[in-house]
Amino acid sequence: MSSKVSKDTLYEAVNEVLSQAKIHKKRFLQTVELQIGLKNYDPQKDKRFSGTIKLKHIPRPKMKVCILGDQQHCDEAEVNKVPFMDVEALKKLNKNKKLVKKLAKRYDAFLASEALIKQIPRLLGPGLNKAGKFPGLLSHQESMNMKIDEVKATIKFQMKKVLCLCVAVGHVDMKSDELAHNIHLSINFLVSLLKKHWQNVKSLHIKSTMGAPQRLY
Amino acid sequence: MTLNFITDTDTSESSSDGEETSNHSSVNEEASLEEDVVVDFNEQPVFDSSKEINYKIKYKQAFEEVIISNDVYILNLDAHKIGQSLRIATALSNFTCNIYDIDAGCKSIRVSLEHEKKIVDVKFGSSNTQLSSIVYTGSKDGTIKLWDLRKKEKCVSVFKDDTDAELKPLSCFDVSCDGRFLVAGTEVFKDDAFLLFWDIRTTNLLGGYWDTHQEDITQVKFHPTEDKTVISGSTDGIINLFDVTQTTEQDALQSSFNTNSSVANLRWFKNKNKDSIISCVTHTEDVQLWHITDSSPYSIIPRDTISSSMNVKPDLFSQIINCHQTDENGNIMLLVGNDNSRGEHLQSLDVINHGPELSPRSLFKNNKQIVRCSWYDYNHGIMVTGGEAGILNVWVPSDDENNSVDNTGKCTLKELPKVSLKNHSSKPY
Repeated sequence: MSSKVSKDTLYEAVNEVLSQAKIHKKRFLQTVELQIGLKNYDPQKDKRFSGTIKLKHIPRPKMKVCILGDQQHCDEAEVNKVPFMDVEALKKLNKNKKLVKKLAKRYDAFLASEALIKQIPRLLGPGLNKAGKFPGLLSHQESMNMKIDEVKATIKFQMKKVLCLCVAVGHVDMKSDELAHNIHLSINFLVSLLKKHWQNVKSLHIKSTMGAPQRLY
Repeated sequence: MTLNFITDTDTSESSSDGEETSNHSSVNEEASLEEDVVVDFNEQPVFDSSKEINYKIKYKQAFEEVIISNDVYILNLDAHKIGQSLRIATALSNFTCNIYDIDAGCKSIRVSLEHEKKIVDVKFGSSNTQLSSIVYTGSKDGTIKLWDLRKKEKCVSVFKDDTDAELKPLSCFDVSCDGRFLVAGTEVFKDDAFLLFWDIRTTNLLGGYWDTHQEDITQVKFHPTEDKTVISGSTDGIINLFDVTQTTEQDALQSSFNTNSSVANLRWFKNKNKDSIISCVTHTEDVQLWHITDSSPYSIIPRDTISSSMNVKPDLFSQIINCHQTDENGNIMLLVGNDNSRGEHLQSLDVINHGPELSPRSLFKNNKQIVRCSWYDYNHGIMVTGGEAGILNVWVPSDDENNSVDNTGKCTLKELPKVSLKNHSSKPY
């Protein structure tokens, strides 16, 4: 299955998005989105189009990850200047729904040590689940920073009721090569999940938060 | 219907700058290099002879039934086997459910059961001594209906949650092992995704949970032997394990598992040591196997491992249809297809040494469709499949695998004869 987006088209669109963002600077870091329009897809009958993709270049560097750690991970987090909480801090929340909700809001994702992750339903109740932020596992064999980068590089996509899907694939401070690579990877991955591949793709656009959309396909 | 691939391969260049880029892109690169050969989608799957292996168990098609109307998919099925008799329930995309009795050489369509919206699942009630006459169908219309096939007024009870003005759109359901309770999962309804419980005998809604999933619940399964244990999975990627004897949702939630993906299918297995195992198929076509006592999967079988374990060339993208238990020791096989042509390639793979290693198990020759649902009985090795051409197939182990249903003849008892198809020519492709 070859890509229907040529390298030239891709780079042209990427450069256009990036240069637009340079001319019209905004006070925040603009996200670059890939928008996919689908056709010949029946949500009633076809499989759901939903999941995660791990990209090579972190699309959301500002994402905040909090470590729910055992002693060793907390020490490590302190050295790395990563936000963390230990068991005692979690116990203080006392399963209070509002406090847990607040905690879930403050961070984009959580990672927890093996010893803690099993206790989280007991310690916090279902609050993190409800927010869709139940932690991933951080083991002692992995490097904390690499694991955090992995979380930051993993993006979710999900098609809801309309036949259109948006994924945040990067930001406007990325190099064009990095952005192009993320887009290329996302397109190939998403198209591979469609039953009829390119026959299910109606359109492909990229756009920055405030910029004009650029058509790829 | 030919797919004209554009043969410029240059976009794949950009991924070559990173060695450890995701496998998905490297698979693409490989495939695109071979793309100069125009792929004719009318051709049969290309079998790679270098990968030709002896399948462990040979299968033949013993039964085929095509739904006459076009463009109807078989989305779910359940079956029940006693002695030589096999009863199958199929949930179709046109909101109906068909029941078939296949008995030593004859088939009868029993009934057609209806809903107002998409049927999300169909299940037989349990019965150890006779073919089950109880069928449950759950639907997006917000109801689970209990049908008694022995009675004229077939729909005996309706289970619904009418505590709100509208009924909640169900997305899955299950029956407890003792047959006393029903649980259903819903899509997000007014910001909450619900798990709802009913007492089957009184049809009363017993209660629900709505604080443990962020997104649509896609799967809910009672434990096969403990009626108090329930797992639920969602597109938010979380699997929750509940002890439903606890009164509050907070206390009921025993553990949660983060799949970092989106849950499409969950099943329970028991291994040699009687430990409970959960298989999880994700919407990105990977498989994860979890011990319920662990906090990470003991095995992750990625899509490219599955794709490359299939006996086709070039390495195509696999589609996982289901996980099935193959014996009492809790060995697991995957039923997989791929997206080549019309999806005729259907095979099973054994999970070796707890995965992610796979080995080919069976090839299902003469399959004609993209298979969407399956049922397997490991005592008899019978496989039942249904799919997007509206075809229902029963497969039985046989050394003579080429003896397809076309030689109608008298099949032996175990192998059920083919049913002549009224409208064989109208294939809904």
